[in-house]
Amino acid sequence: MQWKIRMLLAQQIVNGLSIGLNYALIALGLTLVFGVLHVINFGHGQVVMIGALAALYAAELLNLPYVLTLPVAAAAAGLLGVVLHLAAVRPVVRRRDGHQDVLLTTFAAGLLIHEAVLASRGPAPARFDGIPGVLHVGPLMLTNQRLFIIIVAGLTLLALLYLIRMTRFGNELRALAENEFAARAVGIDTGKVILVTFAMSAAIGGLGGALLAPLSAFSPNIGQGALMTAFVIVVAAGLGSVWGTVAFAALYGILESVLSLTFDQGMASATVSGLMLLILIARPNGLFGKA
Amino acid sequence: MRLLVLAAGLAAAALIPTLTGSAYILDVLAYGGVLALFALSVAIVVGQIGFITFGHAAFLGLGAYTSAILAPTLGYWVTVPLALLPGVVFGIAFGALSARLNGAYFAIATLVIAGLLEYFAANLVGLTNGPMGLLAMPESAPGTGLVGWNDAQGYLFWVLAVLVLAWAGLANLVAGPMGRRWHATRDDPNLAESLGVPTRWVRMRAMAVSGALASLAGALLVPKIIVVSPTVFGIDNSAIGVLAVIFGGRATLAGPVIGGALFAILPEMFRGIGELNTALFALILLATVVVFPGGLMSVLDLLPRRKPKAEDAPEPVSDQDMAQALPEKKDRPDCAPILTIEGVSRQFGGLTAVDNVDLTVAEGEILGLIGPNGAGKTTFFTMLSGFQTVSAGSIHLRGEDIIGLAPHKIAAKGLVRTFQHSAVFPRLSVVENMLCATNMQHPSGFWATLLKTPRYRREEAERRRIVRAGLAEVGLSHRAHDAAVDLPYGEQKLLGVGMALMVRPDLLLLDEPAAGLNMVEANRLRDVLADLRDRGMTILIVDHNLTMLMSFVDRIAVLHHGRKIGDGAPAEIARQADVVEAYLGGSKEGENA
Amino acid sequence: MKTFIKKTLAATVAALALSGAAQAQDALKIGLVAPIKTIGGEEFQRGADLAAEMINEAGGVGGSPIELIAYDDGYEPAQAVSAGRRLFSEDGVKLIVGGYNSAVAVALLQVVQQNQGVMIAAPAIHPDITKYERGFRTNFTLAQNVLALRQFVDAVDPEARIAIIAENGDYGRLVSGLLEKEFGDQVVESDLYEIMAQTDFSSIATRIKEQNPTLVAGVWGATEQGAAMMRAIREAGIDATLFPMPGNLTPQLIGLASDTMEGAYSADIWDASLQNDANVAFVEAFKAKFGETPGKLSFLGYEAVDLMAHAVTVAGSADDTDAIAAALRDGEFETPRGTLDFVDNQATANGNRLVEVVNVNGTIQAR
Repeated sequence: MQWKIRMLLAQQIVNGLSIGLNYALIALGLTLVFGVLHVINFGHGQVVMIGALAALYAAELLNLPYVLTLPVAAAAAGLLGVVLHLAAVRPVVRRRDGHQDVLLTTFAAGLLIHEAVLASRGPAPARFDGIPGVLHVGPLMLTNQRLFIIIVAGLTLLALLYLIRMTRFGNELRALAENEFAARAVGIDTGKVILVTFAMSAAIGGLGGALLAPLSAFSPNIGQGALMTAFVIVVAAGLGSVWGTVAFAALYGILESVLSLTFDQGMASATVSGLMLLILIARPNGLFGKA
Repeated sequence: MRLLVLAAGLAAAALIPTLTGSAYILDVLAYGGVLALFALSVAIVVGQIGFITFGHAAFLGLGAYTSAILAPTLGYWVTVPLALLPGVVFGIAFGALSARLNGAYFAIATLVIAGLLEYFAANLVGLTNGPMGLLAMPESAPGTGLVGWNDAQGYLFWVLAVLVLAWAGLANLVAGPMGRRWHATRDDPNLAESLGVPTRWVRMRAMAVSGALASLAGALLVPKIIVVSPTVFGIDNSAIGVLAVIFGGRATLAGPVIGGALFAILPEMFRGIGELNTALFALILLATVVVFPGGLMSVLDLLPRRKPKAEDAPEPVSDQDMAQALPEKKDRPDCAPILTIEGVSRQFGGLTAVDNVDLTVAEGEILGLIGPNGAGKTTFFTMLSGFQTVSAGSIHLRGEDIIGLAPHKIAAKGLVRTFQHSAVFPRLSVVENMLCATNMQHPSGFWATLLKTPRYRREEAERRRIVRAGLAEVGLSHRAHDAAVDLPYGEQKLLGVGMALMVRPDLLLLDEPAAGLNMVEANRLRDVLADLRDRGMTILIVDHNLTMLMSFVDRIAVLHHGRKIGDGAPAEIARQADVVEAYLGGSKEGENA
Repeated sequence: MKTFIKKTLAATVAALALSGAAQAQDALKIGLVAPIKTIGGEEFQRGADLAAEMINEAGGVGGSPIELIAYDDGYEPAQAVSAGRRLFSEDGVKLIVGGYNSAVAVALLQVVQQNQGVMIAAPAIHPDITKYERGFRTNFTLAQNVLALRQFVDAVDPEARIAIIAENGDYGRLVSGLLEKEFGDQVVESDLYEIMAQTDFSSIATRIKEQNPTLVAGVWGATEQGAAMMRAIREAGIDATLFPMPGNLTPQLIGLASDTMEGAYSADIWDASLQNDANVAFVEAFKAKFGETPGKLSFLGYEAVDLMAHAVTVAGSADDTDAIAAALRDGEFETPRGTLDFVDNQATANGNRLVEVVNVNGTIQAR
């Protein structure tokens, strides 16, 4: 392959990786919740948005440097996740048709959050600066913000994996995901594990929002678009699979970017979605999902 | 739905447009009618067969675009019934998808499909005019000139009329065998298959019906939105469908209708409130579902109560009925083999669960299958009934190879199994359970059911007669209208046997029917089985209750570690040394059974 | 059960009827239909509200104060049609301003025609709008839009290699299609991106970079996407001239994209720095009320209400919609863009103005 095309491809791969890993952070929240509760949290997109908003306020009102706004985003989103869980998930999830009800309640809760933000600060987007500057490696370039995203996403993933595999909490979480009845039977406080998982999922999502916002701008709609893509990713990867979600998210981002070299964006997106559909048909539980 | 109610509904459809002259109110009510129809279509998927869908707007858009594209040439109102076609075709595709995917996977796959359709609508500009949309200018509704209505009134009437007709037809379907198949497929697909319900086909047909209705709603949407643009495929519309069903009450049909209508009416009502209108709407949604699991229908205390209908009052069942209803009495066997099993094995990875088993079951014989736990009995049964594949060997039912056939096909050929756990559909009543099992008896066609023709009514009456006879046979007539889950365990088992009987089996596979029964219940079961034996039924029964088993089977086969270690008359088997050792723990310890 | 449904229905019908409750009888009611929960609709509404306020302070229209009744349409024809019908039958409104995108504007116009109202459509640019005798279009025509770039290219960079990035919506497609037609081979790359969903433009930027453009023309509706796109272009190392197409270079954009926009060019039918009396008054009042310079959408909202008020004055009646339409068709008006009149229902003034961003502090200089 010619040098030029190789470089183009490489550039797109690098772009795609950063996009994909950002999606991974958002998608991880969904898959964690699904793993333990087997429900889809339709309000997750708004939690992501609140994370971004919290970071924005932290920067504007408290004058915190960008990097320090990230924990604020995670904390605020995590707190919201807890509230969401207590108000919209816990009261309904145990019912016979609970998994259906949760769709409605989390959707309604998400809508409430969105409307609250619209009512309080209006729809105007706001500039939110991340890490300035551009990194050049030969003919390839990557903004520092994107590089930062890759690093943070990677670290978060590693931390999460450590948590899940090496800690007691992680064991409890995996036990719960596998068989709730048995988990309770051996004395695991499933209510607490679920609550903490929800908080974690929201916190990671909020972090994702705070990382995403500097790329374009903060807007009250920043969560919704990301959510749709996140859905596609978690499902194709296999609900509940952490590794799978990240891998597939990265793959998704890269594929979309590379395809947009020849196709326009919409077509690239549609192609990747179509591919995902085919994957599902071939493997009904996702690429890495458990049957 | 009774004809009277239908007539009342149509009368209401004709009356409502005259109640107001406001174009706005007529418009909102029409939108409410369209969304109600859409919600009905979603109710089939979400409520009746139990799948969540995030992409039903795909059908809405298909119908709207079909109508908008064809209307300039054919006139708008002609395109409305035509819009059913793409709905059916796409519905079948969705149905095929549902056979493959479950739960959340299916839901998101439908989301992706709707998104792809939106993409195509936005980009196939030659056909759809892209994002600029197609302008539709519907002519006056048929008949408006005659009665002096304006266009808005005519439109509203037709929307309401279609809604009422669809509702009535759907109610007929739900109350009949098709609805029972839907519920069975939703509540326990394995049990349904064992009763001869072809679950895959059932889902496909349900989706086809749902798709047709949703597409119809899409076509009827056109005069309301005037310009059909790609956003009609959007997630917002799909969400409205699902939310309306859950909000209204997914267990019924009336719930989704009300939910759909409210989704059109409430936002309009709240327009006056200003900024917080959507927030208020969201709050209402949240509160309703959290507090009332049954949706609005339970709020309004309108959930249907289980009332025995007049036609179901316990009637004496004559012997003639019993004879007609139940499998024929045959003379005692001439030992023709009905089931031939040769060299059947099943491996799971490194574990061999069933190891090279040969077994022949003769017509009219009662064969008991025993063995210690883990011997492979249940695996064996699941292979015979088609729920599990065979690693090696052959199975012939009356000479016909049944390996690889779907469970429902095997049931249709006369081999019916019961389940040790989950023997019944808990949410349904006893009668409804039995009716589910009659799905292969006097099958009623789709249109006959939809329109409730006299022929359908005869067939339905026939089915109910058969059910009554079956209940009498297992002694559950007095429980006809109780919810199956309320029955004592022993009676649930009997119900399971009764249901299996409804399938008219030649060979009945009973999987531990006496498990968990006390002595009284076990005796009752034995009496029923004895009566079946007297009628010439062939029975293969797995159980641990050796006392009961030994007293009435003709022959016993013994499995141990997947292999058959004994096959003969009960008395012989009881003396066989290795059987005693395997099962009873060693001859030296004496008879501790 | 059936009676219950009937009763509920009757109650609902009554509630709907009542909810369009009686309002002040002698006000001049003007309806506004726009996606007011989004930034674009909000800007439009601000301009409209300001116009109503200023006119009312000066005594109203023939003594009657203007009352703006605003409804959200969420970009959806379904909602817009409901809003339109409600305005006509419940609120007693005959005059409407709004219509953000093509589908909505055209749908709304059907309702307007059926009810014999008058509508000033903005910012929609669908060519069909002017086919309706009661529909008036105030935003630029597509021809004007393309002309803006033509003028620039002819003046500054006749051999320009042009890359076009447009949103995949009615607006984007219409404009990019015409640009491709106008500039033929000079267009080296033309891309569409997904509205709302897309936040990352690095891939498109990389693609564009390959073609070595000297000028990048952008067409968008959502400012944040436009800003992200412009920044992505610079981040990819493309130093072509940035040319947001008419309507897209706004103070908002500069707020979001800041130093990226330095040296950018655009042209439009209006700019905040125009020095006519009407505009000076408008801009000052807007700054006083909202603390920032108005953008084009606010101008359009303001102008629409202003025009409507003037037309009513000329016609002498708020109810004679034929006269009002005629007044618009035949009249000449002084608005913040200059002197304008309607030619075939299309607002026409003295053409496009070229602007250049000269420094980063949000100043747009017109030339």
